Amino acid sequence: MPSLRSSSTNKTDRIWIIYALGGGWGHLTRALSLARIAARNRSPDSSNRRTVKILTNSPYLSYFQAQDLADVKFLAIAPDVDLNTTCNRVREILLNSNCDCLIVDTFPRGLGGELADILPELPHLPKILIHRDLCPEYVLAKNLRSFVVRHFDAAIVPGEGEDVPLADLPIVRHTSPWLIRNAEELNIDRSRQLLRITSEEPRKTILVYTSGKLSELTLFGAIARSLVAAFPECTVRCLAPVLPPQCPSDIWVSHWPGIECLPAADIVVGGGGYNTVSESRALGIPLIAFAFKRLYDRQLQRVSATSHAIEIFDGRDVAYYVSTLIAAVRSLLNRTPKSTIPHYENGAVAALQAIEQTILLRSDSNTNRDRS
Amino acid sequence: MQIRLIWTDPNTGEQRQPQLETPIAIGRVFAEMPAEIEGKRVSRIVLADDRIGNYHALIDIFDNELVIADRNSSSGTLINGVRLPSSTLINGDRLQIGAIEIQIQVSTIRAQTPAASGQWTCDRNIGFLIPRTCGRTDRTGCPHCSGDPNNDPYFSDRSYYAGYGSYNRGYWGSTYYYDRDYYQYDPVTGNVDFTEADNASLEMEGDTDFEMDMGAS
Repeated sequence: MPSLRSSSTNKTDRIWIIYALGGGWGHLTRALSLARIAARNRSPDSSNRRTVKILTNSPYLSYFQAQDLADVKFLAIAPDVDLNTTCNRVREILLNSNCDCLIVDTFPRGLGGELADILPELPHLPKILIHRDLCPEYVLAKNLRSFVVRHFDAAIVPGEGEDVPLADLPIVRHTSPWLIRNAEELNIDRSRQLLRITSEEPRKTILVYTSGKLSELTLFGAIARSLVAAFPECTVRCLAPVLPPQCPSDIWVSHWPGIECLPAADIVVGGGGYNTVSESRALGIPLIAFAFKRLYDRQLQRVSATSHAIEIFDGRDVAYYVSTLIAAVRSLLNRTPKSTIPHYENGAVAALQAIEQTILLRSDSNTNRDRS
Repeated sequence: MQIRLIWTDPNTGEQRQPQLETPIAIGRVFAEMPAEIEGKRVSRIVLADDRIGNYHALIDIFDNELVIADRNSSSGTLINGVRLPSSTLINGDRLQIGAIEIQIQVSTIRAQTPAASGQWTCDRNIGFLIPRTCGRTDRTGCPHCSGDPNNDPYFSDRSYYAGYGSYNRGYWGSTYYYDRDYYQYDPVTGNVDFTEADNASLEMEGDTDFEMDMGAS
């Protein structure tokens, strides 16, 4: 039977694999926020470097800028292949790769349930779950409580609060949200440059911060167009990987990571996904969030703490969303703009320490077991 | 050995009469009852009554006799009105467990089955949710054996529920298969009798196909 080979015989590198399958930007960006810090910081037990490999089927992979990710490697699976092919590919990769630690983002059993068969074949490998919020129906339907306890050494909640399923398990640790940039890496002038804001006039900037599925760009495009018409006194920009339908091309910006564009924004209009909400909160920028329906993620719950949440319903007219949005924007325009970037804690740093501790504990445990 | 338990659900007023293979565990919490005893799959009956223990009693064959054993429950088990720690059961016996009275029907069908006497029986799997062996001795009037797929009583259901008949991990049917002891079976056809609640559950499953979409988030 094949097994994930430990790379412990290799004295130069520690290899971590992050399972980050899933649609949208969220899983991949969260994985990268940890990976870049893990790859840059040396392991505390030696001078060994860490090599972090991200297993992904994200359709957005090609949009990432390669120069930023020199320390991170990707194990890419095509986003358009069927479920069985993807699951088989995951199995093939995991059981034939050198690895010292497996980190699974969001889905303990894997997005297709494929890890349920793979994890038991990796008994000596430390396994960490990144526990983003999940809908309780899924947790119940797949008996995730017992599965997580049985197969994972630790579960880290990346700033999703206490009110997530499984948060009461003894193996759970909480950190601040994981962000792809630390506060000191952001700059307001650079942000203005990225958003092509040249005017010296004190104009407010409304940033439409697209995310989610490519098919949802249509709504964001219509929203951006409406904001331009409704607020001629403001600068409106739409950050998206491709020009959204209906969006005026002169306000479209394509840049990754999007957080670098945020400091120049006075109001953010986006989805209710993990990164949009975490980033705008960290920077103290008011977010008007559209809560999209997802199979696993509870966007409405996440954005309920923000000042303006707009729930997306099937079949509701775009005009409704636009009118609701415009009213919300109006209510926020009188706020005094921030002149500096607030300091925030990047939870990925604490997560790195927690993972290292877990690996050390596991290593001691394995050693003791081998001796006995 | 198969026996039928007949009782009326005090919460719904609905009569239940599943025919089950021994051993049969009775209790209030499904997970507290054993899934297997000595390699035999246990039929688990869940009764919603606070006076019933999590794992209240076990019905099984001992020395070729059908026996019920109370699992040291606080409210006890009454057999024909008498509280006993264990007792042999025969056809027509009445059990009192919590507030629920259960009648025992000991099936003698197995001993008289055509298969046992060498007669042909249909071994086709029938039923929508949990396929069961047909067991008919005559194809006359059988919708499954007519050769016309339109006669399949579950034709539209099969079309609607993708993955029908797959009970492996990851398919929606796996949970139903795991919980198959909960369902009530038609004594003649062996098909599952759906309640409105069952149907509602299935509709929810159709809308939430967890672990079926590799682009979900």
